[in-house]
Amino acid sequence: MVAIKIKHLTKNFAGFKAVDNLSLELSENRVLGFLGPNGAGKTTSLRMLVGLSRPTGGEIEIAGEKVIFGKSTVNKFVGYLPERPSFYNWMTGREYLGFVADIFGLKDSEKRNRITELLKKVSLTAFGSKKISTYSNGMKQRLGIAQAIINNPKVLIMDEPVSALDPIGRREVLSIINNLKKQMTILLSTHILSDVDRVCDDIAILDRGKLIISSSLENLKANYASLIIEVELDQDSPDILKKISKQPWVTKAEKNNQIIKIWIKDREVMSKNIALNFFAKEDVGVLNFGLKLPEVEDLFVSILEGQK
Amino acid sequence: MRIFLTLFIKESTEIFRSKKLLILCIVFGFVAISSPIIAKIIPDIFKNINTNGIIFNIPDPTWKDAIDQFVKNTSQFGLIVVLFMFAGAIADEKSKKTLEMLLTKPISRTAYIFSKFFAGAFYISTIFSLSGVVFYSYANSLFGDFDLVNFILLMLFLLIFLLTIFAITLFFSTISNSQIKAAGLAFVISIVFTSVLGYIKAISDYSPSYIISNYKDLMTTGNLDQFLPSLYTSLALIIALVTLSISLFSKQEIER
Repeated sequence: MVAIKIKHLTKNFAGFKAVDNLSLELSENRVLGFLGPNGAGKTTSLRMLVGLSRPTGGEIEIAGEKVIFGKSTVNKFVGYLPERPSFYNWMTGREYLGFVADIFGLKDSEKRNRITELLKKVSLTAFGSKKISTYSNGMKQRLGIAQAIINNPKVLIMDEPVSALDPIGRREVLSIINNLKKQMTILLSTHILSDVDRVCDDIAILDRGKLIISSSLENLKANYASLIIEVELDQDSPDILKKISKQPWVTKAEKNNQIIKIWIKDREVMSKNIALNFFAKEDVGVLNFGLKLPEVEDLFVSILEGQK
Repeated sequence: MRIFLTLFIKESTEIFRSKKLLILCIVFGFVAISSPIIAKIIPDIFKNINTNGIIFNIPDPTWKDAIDQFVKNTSQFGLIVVLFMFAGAIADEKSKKTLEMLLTKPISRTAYIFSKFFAGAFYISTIFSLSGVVFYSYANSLFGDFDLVNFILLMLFLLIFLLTIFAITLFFSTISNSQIKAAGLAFVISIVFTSVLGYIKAISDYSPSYIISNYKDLMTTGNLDQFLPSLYTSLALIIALVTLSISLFSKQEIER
């Protein structure tokens, strides 16, 4: 079943189109990574989905109900976490969750159990009675996730959930998101591409307000990924990059100290050992050699470059 | 109704914990206690000033002088405290981004504005009424008995005046993105509505501040008729401002 249906969504700001005719569908219990460079229109789209911003045109349906700007009925199915969640700092974490539970009409005993369970889930049990003003960014982000899922939403929407966090905070939040997979449909925007590999099933790439591509990550990797060879040399060789780039079987090459990434034109380069023969001919020692699995970052760059 | 109550309780807790309640208590408590004292000691102060032979003939103070002080202080301190305590009620939630967390929950924007208005109005009314009790008891002990019913009527009219200021403040808090902007706009418009209009003869009877300049008639005669136009204007203004706040807020996009 379709959890989110977006049809011809458009948002104009004084003279420019922040979102341009975006159409997208997301099936139930999938995790969609919403990607795009800064200013691509990701946050604007998400804010229209949760009713904070009014679309200039188009339609949005969540869990079968139309999103109407200014009406909050769809919000009962939705959990939302903005990029930097802000709370009432005079409340404790437990009080804030209690307040949100009251909005959703949870009964007293159910409310108590749910809050205890959520504080445990986001590793804030020991801090539940502390004022939110004393929380770190990571703790606020985790509390943000807890308040977003207190109603067991059908759809969880997160805007850059880990971008403001240090590596430990990021790992904690990603692990929470991973645990939520299959329980609800998740739509998350991010520009940290390695995170998409870790948690997403599908990706949609937006650039200058337009949807460039929307597909499962698996399909995308199969269809769009360039073949990349990664080679580790035994010592740094200053001229080697220039020589590789001139080879007819090479699309592009990058060098980082002794590691060289080579985008090759077809699989024959591997099967006929063309690349290996080249290094042998150049008399360069090779420590490691192999096809690199395509990463989202490579897909993202090649798709955006293809657009240009 | 459940959502309104949840938001009302949250507002009440915030008013209490952010010390707004304490500040309201201090200001209105000060007005209640200082007004009779000032009325009582001003003649003594003048008597004790060395004026090189000039003699001031000041009559003994009465409860009327205490009421003078009370009305004057309420209209000045009351206006300022209501304005600055509540100018951030909605504007602050926008600038601090707590509003976007709230509006993505199933709450109606009408319930949100109502909760802000009724919570603020409840605490202003309660604290101001208590200050009236304190003032009445203290002024009575210093100057002797005066008419309680007329004083209650005066308190009622003054309260409507304060609630008009509060409705103006809340309206500007709704349409502004910062507390300072909301306070500045509300201050200017409050002065226009409560003072400037009072100087235009043709409409002065309808000014929300009519009670401030004509309270003596009410205290001595208890006759309400002359105060009704200003009462109706104030009530209409409060209802119109709250309605307009709801209408504008419902169409407002919440900026990042």
